[in-house]
Amino acid sequence: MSLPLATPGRKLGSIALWTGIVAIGVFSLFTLAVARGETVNAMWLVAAAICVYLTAYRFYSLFIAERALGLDPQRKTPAHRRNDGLDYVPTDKYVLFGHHFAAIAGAGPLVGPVLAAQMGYLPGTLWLLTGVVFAGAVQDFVVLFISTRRDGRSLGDLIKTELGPAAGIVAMVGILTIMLILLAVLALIVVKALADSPWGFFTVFATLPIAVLMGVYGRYIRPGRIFEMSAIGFVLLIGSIALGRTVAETPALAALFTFKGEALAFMLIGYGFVASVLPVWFLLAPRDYLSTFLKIGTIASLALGIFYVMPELKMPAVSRFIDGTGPVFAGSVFPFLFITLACGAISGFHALVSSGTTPKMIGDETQIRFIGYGAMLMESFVAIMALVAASVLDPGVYFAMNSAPAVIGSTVDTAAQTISSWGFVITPEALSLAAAEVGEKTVLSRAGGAPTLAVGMAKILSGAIGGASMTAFWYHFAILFEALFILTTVDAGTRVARFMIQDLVGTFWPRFKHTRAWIPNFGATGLAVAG
Amino acid sequence: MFGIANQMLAAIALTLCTVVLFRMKRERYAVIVAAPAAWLYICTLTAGAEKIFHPDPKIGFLAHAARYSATAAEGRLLAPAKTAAEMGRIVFNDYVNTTLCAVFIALVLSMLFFGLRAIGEARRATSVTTRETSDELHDLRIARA
Repeated sequence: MSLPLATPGRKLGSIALWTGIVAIGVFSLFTLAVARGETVNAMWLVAAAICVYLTAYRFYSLFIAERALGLDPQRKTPAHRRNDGLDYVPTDKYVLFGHHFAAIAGAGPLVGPVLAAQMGYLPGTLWLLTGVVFAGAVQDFVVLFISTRRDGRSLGDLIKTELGPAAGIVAMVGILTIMLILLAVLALIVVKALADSPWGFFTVFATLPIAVLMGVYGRYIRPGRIFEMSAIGFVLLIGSIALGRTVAETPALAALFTFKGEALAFMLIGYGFVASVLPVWFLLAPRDYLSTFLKIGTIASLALGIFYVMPELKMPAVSRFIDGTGPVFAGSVFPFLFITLACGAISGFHALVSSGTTPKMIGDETQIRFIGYGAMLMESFVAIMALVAASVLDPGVYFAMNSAPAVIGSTVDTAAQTISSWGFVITPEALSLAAAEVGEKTVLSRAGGAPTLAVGMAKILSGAIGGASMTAFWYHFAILFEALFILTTVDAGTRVARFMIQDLVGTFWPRFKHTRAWIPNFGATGLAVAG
Repeated sequence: MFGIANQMLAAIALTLCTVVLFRMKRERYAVIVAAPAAWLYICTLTAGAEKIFHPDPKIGFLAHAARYSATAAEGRLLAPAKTAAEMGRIVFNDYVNTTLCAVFIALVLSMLFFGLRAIGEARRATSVTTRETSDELHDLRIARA
């Protein structure tokens, strides 16, 4: 980033600033790695992460952008060259950042770190930081670049042109299989989170009309006024969360928004279908942008909350479960820690988004750095926050929530006894109390990451705002937060799957690239897997 | 399983990135994407193999299946199964998972092969061989220069 107006004074200032950031980062990491015996403050973990991200973005991503790839601002992007008002639409870089971030940040950055916390916070933190800087963000960035230079085509299609037709067919079939598995797993998590939860369902549902309004506003009513559009969307969104509580507390309305898992699965498929054929500017991009507000807002307030409350990390830096006998997931640090901590460090799903919706909306090649590398750093930060949330919990509570009933039994007494025998002392009363605080019947064996994260977040946020009486509120807020995260991934994912199937079938039957008749087909497949 | 499939996809994507850098004749910078790709190949292939063959039934699908079928043969049940039919389904699922895992491993290995082959071709070629969509503006500027 060579500033044209760089005077010697500004340059010195910049050097001082970056030296400072690097110094704080090194000191924080040092504190994390060396401090033993005394418990470590969560603040150091957050500070280390922020400094690592800033430094990596400023130096490493710039190096890749200018030296390795040679991004060219003069070059026309597919969004301009093929602007069709449907898939190819030049989009404001902040809106696009929002869309891209929302699409890549699924369940992974929330669930993975919570599971990985069983080995202590240190192994997870180190891999999240090195993984994202040298692998995950680089992957997103370079794939986005490659796809943008090739009409925004999909990963399988790119492999076909660059690695040969045989490789292309193998890759397309393989990628589609992997994609369907990923989508089905994600959809299942959303369905689980929103089933029988009128508050969550109402708020998620409300984001649809709000997004359409934003899309229409940004395109027809007052084009280009991104700030106005954002402000309106944000106010309406906060309103819908507040209203959600009223809905949940009014029996007549609550009944209207309470659905069983199966009905939700159908709705999700219907939604995925509609969202994948509508023009991107109408629903998808503004909606993702909107949920990004909620996500980044929550994560930022969580980070501020950590600096304010300064909770201690109660989990040891490295726990005894690095040998692979852990109750949360089996397997030793290598290779399973690197597999479990997927989306916060590196995730193949991102390559699909980076070669799916995003490259068709990039307005200027130089924005690829901000969107590809930057959004991934943001996601890794989300993962770090999830790791912190899991690590500030009492390890006893953490293991009680994440171990299978077969291991810890189904009562607080057996659970407390088993977990205490692992060296994490906890009493049955403490487990009952933890459940009562968040307004749940039990916290035992609530595996899957979301509840643990919600309890951890509730603990941090209620420490900052509202005290103990607000714990239940924050808990439900966190559950909602995760559902929204995953849902946006599902709709971008469905659209990406549409592109992939069009590419694949188009190989054999070129006309198919323009038809969409197969979509009900895909819906049926999705239903089969999710049901 | 979810994690392994996801990371394998990342390995494939990074292979593509490496090949494209070679084809752009920018192989000096290829290590930026080749190093993480290599690490992911090591991780996913080890994890995939362990998921299939590891003797601990908590990790290995085959060991898990063997344990459940042995117990079912004795006429007993293991949690979480509540009926003999569920025992059968668990064993069946283990075999489905084993097959999927094996297919994914084969997929990743073949992509590694195709990737290396393409890199070899790109190295032998004397000029840029990558296939970017042509950009009239861009070409014009190159022509002028």
